[in-house]
Amino acid sequence: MGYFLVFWSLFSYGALGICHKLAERKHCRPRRLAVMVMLSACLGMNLLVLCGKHGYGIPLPAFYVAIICGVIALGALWAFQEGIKHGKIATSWLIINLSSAIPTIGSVLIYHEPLNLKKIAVVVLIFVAIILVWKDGLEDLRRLDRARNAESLPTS
Amino acid sequence: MWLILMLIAFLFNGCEAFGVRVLAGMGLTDSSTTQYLLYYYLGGFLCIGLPLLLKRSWPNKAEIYIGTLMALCSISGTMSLAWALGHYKVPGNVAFPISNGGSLFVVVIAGVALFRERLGRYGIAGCTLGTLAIVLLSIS
Repeated sequence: MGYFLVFWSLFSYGALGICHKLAERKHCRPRRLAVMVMLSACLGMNLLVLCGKHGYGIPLPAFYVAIICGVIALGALWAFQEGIKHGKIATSWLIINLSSAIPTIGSVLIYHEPLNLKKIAVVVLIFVAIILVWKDGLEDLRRLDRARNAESLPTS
Repeated sequence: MWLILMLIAFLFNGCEAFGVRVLAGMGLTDSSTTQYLLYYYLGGFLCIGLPLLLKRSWPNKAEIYIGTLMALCSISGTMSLAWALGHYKVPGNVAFPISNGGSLFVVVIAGVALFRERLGRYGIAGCTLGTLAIVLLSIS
């Protein structure tokens, strides 16, 4: 059952990425879409809190962190949804997934967690991966330009 | 334009994820994660929902359906992973690489198969290195 849940989460996150692209193809407006995501998720979490045994109580500092992080998440959602209008879902989703390095770096800097060779290698790999997908985007633009130029050439 | 927006999303997404680390630092992950997520989504909704409500601007049908589906996917992914780790004691160094690396693989396949997106050699190399980084990150 545990591994079934792990695979369920895999397909849930995968479906989330596919929904982002689907929303772009259906011409969903990023701000309205973000509102619906936040509202639906808020209602869903409300149900889970109601079913739980801890109630709505939460220490005030944690409440502030939650509100601030929610607002930042909204910014991320909006930027991502605007961004995939101009790029591919595969490379865009890769960049979003790579952002999990930021909490790792934050943990090292703020909480003084030990920095090991693996963490340094991850940061370098992420940097190289972003450069590569950026170069992929540039190649796409060049390909598009060549196709446009070929179309605009007069045929005799 | 794409890269600038993606870097903004990268930075914001990473920063908001750090909130969970702050919560862990307060020793509240066991008792308050559900409440934390409730206020997290509420904060996001109020920030953009209220201005839109005042402007009487409503989402259309596609935005409602897809937005709700996205929220379901997000909650379902988070909660199932949390249950697998907490209740069924699946080791984190197995669960995170499968969930994170695997979902990226699913999206790459969907991009090619469903949306007819073509990845160049740089894109393929970037996705391969990125997946490796995510797997390494998940087990570190």
